[in-house]
Amino acid sequence: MKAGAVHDDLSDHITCCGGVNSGTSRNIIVALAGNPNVGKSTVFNSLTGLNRHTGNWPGKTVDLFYGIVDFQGDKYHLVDLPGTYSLRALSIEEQVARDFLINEKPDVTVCVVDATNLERNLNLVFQLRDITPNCVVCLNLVDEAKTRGIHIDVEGLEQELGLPVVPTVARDGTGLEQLMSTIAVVARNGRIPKVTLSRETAGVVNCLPGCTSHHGEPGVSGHSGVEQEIHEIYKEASRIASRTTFHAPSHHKDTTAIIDDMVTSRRFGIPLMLALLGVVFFITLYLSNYPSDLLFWLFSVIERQLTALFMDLGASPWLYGLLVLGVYRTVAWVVAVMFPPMAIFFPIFTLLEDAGYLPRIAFNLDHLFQRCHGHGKQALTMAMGFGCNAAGVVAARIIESPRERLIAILTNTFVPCNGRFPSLLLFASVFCRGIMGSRQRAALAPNHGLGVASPVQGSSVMSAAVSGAAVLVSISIGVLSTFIVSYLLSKTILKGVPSSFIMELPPYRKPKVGQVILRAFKDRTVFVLKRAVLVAAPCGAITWLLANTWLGEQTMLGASAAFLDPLGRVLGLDGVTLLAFILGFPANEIVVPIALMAYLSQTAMSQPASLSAMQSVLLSHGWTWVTALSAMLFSLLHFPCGTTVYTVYKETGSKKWAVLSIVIPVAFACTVLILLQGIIRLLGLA
Amino acid sequence: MSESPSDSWVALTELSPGEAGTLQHIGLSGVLRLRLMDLGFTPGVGVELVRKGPGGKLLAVRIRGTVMAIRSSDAAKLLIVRG
Repeated sequence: MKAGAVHDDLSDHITCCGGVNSGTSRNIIVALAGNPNVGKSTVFNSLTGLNRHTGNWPGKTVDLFYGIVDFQGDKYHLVDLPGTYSLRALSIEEQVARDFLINEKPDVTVCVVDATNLERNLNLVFQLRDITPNCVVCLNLVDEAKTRGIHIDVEGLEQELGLPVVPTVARDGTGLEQLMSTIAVVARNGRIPKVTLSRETAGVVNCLPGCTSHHGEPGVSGHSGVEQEIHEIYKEASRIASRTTFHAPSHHKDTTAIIDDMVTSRRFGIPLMLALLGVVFFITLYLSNYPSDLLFWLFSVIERQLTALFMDLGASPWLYGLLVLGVYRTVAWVVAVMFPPMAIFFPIFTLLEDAGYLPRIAFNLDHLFQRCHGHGKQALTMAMGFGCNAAGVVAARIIESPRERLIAILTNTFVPCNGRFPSLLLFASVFCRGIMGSRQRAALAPNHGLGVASPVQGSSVMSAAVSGAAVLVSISIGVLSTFIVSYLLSKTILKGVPSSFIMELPPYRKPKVGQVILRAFKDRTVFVLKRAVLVAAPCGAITWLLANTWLGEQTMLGASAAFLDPLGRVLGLDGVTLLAFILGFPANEIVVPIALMAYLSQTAMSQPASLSAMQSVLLSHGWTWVTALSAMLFSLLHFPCGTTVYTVYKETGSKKWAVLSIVIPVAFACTVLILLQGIIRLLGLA
Repeated sequence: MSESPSDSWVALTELSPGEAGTLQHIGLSGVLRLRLMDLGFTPGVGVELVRKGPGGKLLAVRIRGTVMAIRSSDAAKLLIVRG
């Protein structure tokens, strides 16, 4: 019965009816709800392993993650609802969670609750209990509660709530087995009828008009009734929490407050944030050189083998060119350039995210957003944009005001996603070599003989530091551009005053390093790389064809580049680079490989076998530090990739905003680059 | 109460970091009012001003065991009694 309502995506997995025993194994839908920052995703990840799927659920164009757990012979489809404090549908996330519960009617709903903060979490439990029949409370973080001297009377809580309560420590898996068996029992028998509601609780349940009303009806209409209801819920939550929670004297130091004294300090907050980012970029640049070179070497060995194979088979030159020089090389370059920095940067970034640092960035930057009439949570969507701009656009749902949400959506491209990040690093290294190259030519002569090793060592640290600083500066320019464009938008097409904003500053938590690294690797690195390779392969073939189809004197690629060259020069780039950016619209990852192939087709150069050889290709084709700087800025500020534009269309439901999401950044990027050229010429720098 | 409200009620923004009080009145309307209440800002609840943000325009407030960031323009409309 439930399966019938589920979208096709999921019905592949749900072959028989949800919750109905069809003989051997049953399919049971379990919704996972909970406040943000209570370890809900840890519970989800620990139960489902790393086998996450995206399911498109009916009613809304919303993708929810789900995972499958095999338990006692049955298949449990765990659906990860967005983390929400409430189900009053005051935000899109709350609406999504509420719609799922009402429309899909999951067999069991698990509410993950923070044991250190029972009172506030009970608000959601009460609402869930009323909206769904079969609810299980997962009392998470009991270890953290213990170190803070908080003890919770689990049986007393079960009595008070009339729901099964399972204490867990999701980080190390404690209690998860019991959670699963409780879910199984509830799925089989319905709510465990071992307790009767206390009279006060029952009273509260009966007076929840906001929750029992039709779905999708935000409980805003009858204000005073809803307010009364919230008041009652908290009174009850407070009563239950004080009856079941016992505080022992503890010597626990509030480390969160100590860290926040520095990290969100009025004087040091922003400098510390920049320093932290700078260190992360430096580590990424410094460490990724070696694996990059290794991959280049490996791929060139394979290319030689492939070449020999094609020769042996007597394949025609165009087939060899198309498959090896086009498809294989482009894919190899994408992997060699992108994989190492992504494999280093994203785990570090995810660690910061899981530790709870991102809300502090939003906290530190909010006064700047206030000044440009933006929303403080825009900083969080920007942080998501570091992973993927399309994800950043989706994340803008956390912003309740439509005006500020649109501003966040339209400016998200100014944060370099992980597809652009490696090209940014490469351009930064070229920029660095361009600058140092001109210095070195002047001061190279007296350096010979002794101490050969140390200058080499020193220069690689040095160049990583300079490139790291260049990336940091360019990201700061991206952030500055976000502010400027947000301000301009709020003064023109998105007029309005800043709305309010409220955000939790959760306690810092030690991230689960192993899980984070695996998750960052699978969800971000492999996901993005796979997409890049899928786009790179056909684009490599097309680029090779363009580079080898002659139109009179020129190849088609050469002709297009020559056509774009005047415009490229105005922007401080050249025709080839501009063409590469345009051809890179499907995925930003392939911009550098296209540019390289175009350059290499101009001259009969062999395949570059290292990262520095790759940089040399650019430098030997007329790139200077100005070109590299312009390319960095253009990469940072130009139109979002095809996926992101499509996501903007899906999220806003309007072609107008999708088009504007291209037009606004392009106009801004061109303005900035033309200004840059002017300044450089004015100062006589190049 | 012998005192009239205006004598003892102050805006949340008047507190200095580390100072606490009891929420008396939410001078806001619409969705934000509901949202704040939904997060536990109900009259009678204890609030503590934890710190002010780098621009001084954002406050970190502890309420029901959670630290929430709220803009001072909104916090100015939350009236409390000190202590």
